[in-house]
Amino acid sequence: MLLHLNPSSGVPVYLQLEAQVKQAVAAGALRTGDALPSTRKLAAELRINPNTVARAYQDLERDGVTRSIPGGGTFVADGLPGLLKSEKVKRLRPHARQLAVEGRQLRLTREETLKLLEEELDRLGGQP
Amino acid sequence: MSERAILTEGLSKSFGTQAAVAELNLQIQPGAVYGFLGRNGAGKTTTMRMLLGLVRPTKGSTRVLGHDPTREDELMRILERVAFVPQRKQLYPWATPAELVRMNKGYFPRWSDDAAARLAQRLEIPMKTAFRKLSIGNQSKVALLLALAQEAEVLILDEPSAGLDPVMVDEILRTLIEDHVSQGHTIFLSSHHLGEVEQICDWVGILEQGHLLLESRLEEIRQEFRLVIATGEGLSVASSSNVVSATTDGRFRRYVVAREADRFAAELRSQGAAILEITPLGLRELFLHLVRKEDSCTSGNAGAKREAVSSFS
Amino acid sequence: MYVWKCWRETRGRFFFLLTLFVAIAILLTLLPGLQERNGSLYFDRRDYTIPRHDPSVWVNLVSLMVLSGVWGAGLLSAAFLGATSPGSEFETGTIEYLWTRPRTRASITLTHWGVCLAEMLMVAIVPTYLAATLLATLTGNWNQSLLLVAPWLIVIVGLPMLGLTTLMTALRRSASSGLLYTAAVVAVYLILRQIANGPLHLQLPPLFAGPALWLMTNHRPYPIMFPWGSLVRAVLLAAAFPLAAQYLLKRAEV
Repeated sequence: MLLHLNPSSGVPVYLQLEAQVKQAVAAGALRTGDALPSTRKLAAELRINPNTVARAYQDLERDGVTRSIPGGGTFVADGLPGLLKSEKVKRLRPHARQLAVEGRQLRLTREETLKLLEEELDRLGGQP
Repeated sequence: MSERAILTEGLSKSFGTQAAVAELNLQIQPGAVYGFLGRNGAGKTTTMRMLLGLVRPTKGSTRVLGHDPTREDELMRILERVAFVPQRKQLYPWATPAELVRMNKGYFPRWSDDAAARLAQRLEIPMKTAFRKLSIGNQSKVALLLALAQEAEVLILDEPSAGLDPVMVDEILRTLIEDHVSQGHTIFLSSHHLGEVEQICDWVGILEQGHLLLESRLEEIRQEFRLVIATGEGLSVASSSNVVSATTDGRFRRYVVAREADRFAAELRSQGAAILEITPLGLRELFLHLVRKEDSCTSGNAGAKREAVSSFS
Repeated sequence: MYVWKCWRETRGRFFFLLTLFVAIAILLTLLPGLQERNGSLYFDRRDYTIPRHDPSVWVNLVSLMVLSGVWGAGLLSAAFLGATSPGSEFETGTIEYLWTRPRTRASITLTHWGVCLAEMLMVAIVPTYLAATLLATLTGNWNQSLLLVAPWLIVIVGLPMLGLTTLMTALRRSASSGLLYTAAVVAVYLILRQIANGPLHLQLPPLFAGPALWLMTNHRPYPIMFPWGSLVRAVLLAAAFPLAAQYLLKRAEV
């Protein structure tokens, strides 16, 4: 699995892992039903403590990005079936707020900020 | 409370009038990966030697896997189940690594030939060259091999990656995670490579002049510890127990806060301070803040705590 | 595996000592028969086979000559082998490794001493028995009692020395320093002894070398005043020194 870490980025390792998995899912590189490597295997590959990987996997499952089956194994879940639309919106709002604030601080116009967002959505491709 | 893998209570050691270790209280759970950090001469090696019966404590007690290393019969039980890599990784000059493996193997029933062979290959150790002819790096690797193939429940490693090139350090980390952490072995290691410690450890303890300044889960350091930089006149030296260290740098005050940084910042604001920054701390930064002596530009560590800020309470 | 380690460590010295004393023993056995003619050496067996009034006298003479060359085997091997005892591992830097293996310090010290003892025995027995066999073959006389008893007496002298070297190495935590101190102790003892026997006219019996000296100065192995006191002292010292070393190391810190 093409996960990598930047230990000196200041972002905690488990957050980096979560972000990368989410990104991969969003971009379609990881599809529903794909298996993620076991905690042990990924920890050994990345040379990090298995607890860190476990933490990331737990968060991903809580967020509905992945699900685990009783026999073991973590798989990409299909969408976020457990979450209501309102929940999803609530999750995304802080990111939207940050985008708005930064855009204003940098003195970009509303159109420019929105265009930026659209470009990024386009780059992800996949579903509309 | 489950039995600790390593326990020390008030552990102290003085050499003459010099206190090398003072009132050390460690509680390391089985399966933990504990990074024991400190400057050279802070007392890390002396502590490890006390755990293994090589040095006798002046005061206090210690237990490894429930046994007391100051009693020889119990020490034997410890040594059967603990693997040790000393700071000075010197072995018999006349022996080849292959002979050293053969010699070492007989002491430990759980020795794994597979693990030894795998490790010898991964670490690129020349197994048929006499020890005295090996480079220092290779000598260190042999010492590591002898300890890691033992399949011990507890690994006590004194600067395991010292002198090794980055590729070899990577292989060591991989072996530790794959063959030891995932089997639930306890790892107690000291290292100056803070980056590696941050990667594989789940606990850190910072030792300075024999005292444990800080002991915390790494996760807490990432999530809760914050560096608060403030300016203001007449700010009282923080007496909150959450403040781990406070330094002054001209008009600026730098606080390392263990938890509830926002509340602390609010308190400072109520004293008329302006908060410039509240940022998370990496392990290296935290370490330097805690142990660095007076800087020419700062007035020193005013208010730095001498007791451990423990994450247990 | 610790026994194997002790053997492997002392192997080189052992073979050196063995070769040395075998060579000396054989040379001295053959010495009476070595003649020179026209600038080259050759061996003449005649002296060995001449019928004599009392053949054992001549055999004993040759035996004594051999003993004079190998009597020091015990002492030399004690010094060489004893210097590798665990105390020396402080200096070599391997003590932390050694003492974190699951073996008690007592067993480590005493096992090492035991291996050295076995090697010393070999160095005492092999040359003398080889010489005895050679001599018997040459003379046809198989009564070699002098040479056959010799190894044991060599060892009795060597054992206390082995213990002393082990103790000094433990005290000084170094092989070279241990040897130096051993030599110093021996020198001081000999000087004091000289003073006692000479100017002070004390006539002290040998401390523990009595049996070996008795062997060398008696032509017949009849118990003419066998120095039992000396033997007892030898045994006591042989035991006391390594035990003292063991006690020192047990309490030692790295």
